[in-house]
Amino acid sequence: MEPKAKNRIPWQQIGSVAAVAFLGLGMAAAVARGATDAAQQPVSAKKMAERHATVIHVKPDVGTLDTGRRGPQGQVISAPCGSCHKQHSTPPYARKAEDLKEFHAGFRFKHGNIACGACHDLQDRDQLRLADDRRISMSSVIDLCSQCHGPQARDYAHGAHGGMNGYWDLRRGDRVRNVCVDCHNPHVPAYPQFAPVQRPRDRFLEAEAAAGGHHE
Amino acid sequence: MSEIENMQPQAPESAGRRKLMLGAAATLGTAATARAIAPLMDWKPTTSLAGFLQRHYKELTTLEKKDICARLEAETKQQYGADVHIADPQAEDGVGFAYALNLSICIGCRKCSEACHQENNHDRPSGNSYIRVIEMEQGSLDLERGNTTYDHPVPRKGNYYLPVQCQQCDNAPCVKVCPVEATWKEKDGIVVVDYNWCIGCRYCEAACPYHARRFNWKKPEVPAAEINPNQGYLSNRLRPQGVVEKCHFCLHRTREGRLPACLEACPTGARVFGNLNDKDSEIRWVIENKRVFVLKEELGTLPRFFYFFDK
Repeated sequence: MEPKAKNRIPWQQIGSVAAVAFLGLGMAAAVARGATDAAQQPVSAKKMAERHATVIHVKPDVGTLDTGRRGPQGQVISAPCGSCHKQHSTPPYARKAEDLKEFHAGFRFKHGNIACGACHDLQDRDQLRLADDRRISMSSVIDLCSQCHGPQARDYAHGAHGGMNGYWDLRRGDRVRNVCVDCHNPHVPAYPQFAPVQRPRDRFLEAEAAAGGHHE
Repeated sequence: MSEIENMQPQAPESAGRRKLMLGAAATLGTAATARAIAPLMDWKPTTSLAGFLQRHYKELTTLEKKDICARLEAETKQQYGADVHIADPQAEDGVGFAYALNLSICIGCRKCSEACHQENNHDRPSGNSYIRVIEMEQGSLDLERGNTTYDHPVPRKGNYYLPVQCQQCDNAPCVKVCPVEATWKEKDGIVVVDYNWCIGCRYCEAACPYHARRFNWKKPEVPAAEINPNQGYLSNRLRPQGVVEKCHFCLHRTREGRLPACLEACPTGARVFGNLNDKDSEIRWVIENKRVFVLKEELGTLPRFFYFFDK
């Protein structure tokens, strides 16, 4: 167990959360098979009792913004959105990232053609807003993303997207699942490029490199 | 006649020279022999007597295995200065492991390869790992055109990444060629190696169509502080010099119910692992719902490692 804050969700709830997410989808046709599977085959309660929990990791800084200031030990000082937005009257929601002024100026956004209000609650900026106008907490972000990203949500519900830590055998131990925003920046969700690690080293490859690199 | 007369007075002198020559030759010979066997004199036994006399893994009783693990722990302490625990977890009934990898998601970061390197106590200077990530051209499955030594930001446009490790074949060519049965398939699907029985002939390395086996050219060098103390006899214990090793699906973890190290390290969730015999498992869902394929299917090796694309 990592010492991070966790939102403990028993395994059976993941199935129901996923089912709710799927049933709410407009793109039901695309995921019809996964959705009906999840809805029609609830794992029996008896079986659940024998199982350990699957915990969905909560990103510690979700719903906060880096203020750009650093603490005495160099730690990032971040603040919940509401700490500003509840203090004084805030300008109406911007539609586009380019419309953001003052504090959020220069905000980088590359996530389709959606407006800020498509995901953020216009009244309470510490909350998210679903397409059916329901309000959810920042930590329930999976439900929000699943509205559009059905195939990914389906794969996630079946353990084939997003990665995990812990036990494959839930009879013997817990499992920790990543949450969407652990890997994807919600405002720029494409996975960024970065330098690979652990370049293979062996006598043939070293000789090859010395002779002028790969044959291509 | 004159010749004989001439030689006779010289006889004592000739005998003296012969003796001298013989003495010199003997001295030189001794020196040369000593020099020739010098490496033998410097040789320090790398295998203890108990290790040398050890029988095949399958012939050992549980008690003998326990003694052997204790001996190997002591040897690790002596040779590496590290306190380790060597267990011998057994395959479970009703469990058959399989792995699947989503090639649409893999970004080629080689974090799996790094995790393997650390988890399995690989030789540090050679950077060994059981996983080789191949940078492939999009639209091609030609392994010959792949590149394993890429060194640029990933994922690069126009490429996809194909991590290859032991495919734990159900019809494994490597097992068939072993002349001493030092490698075999366990009932949970994992192909293992008894490092104390392997003679290092490398037939298996040549037989593997996936280039999944590695040979210990030298004794692995790992600093004591970096040694993973959670070890298995058939998995990540420190291997002797001159034996072959390979991916074992982290059996010291997976037979305890945990996920393999490479899966936990994957930052994108491209890897799916589980029990093929459990119809509710993640791996079964992938195999039943994704268009999975295996590498070099035409060879009939029946891998337990599946690949798939999302789209």
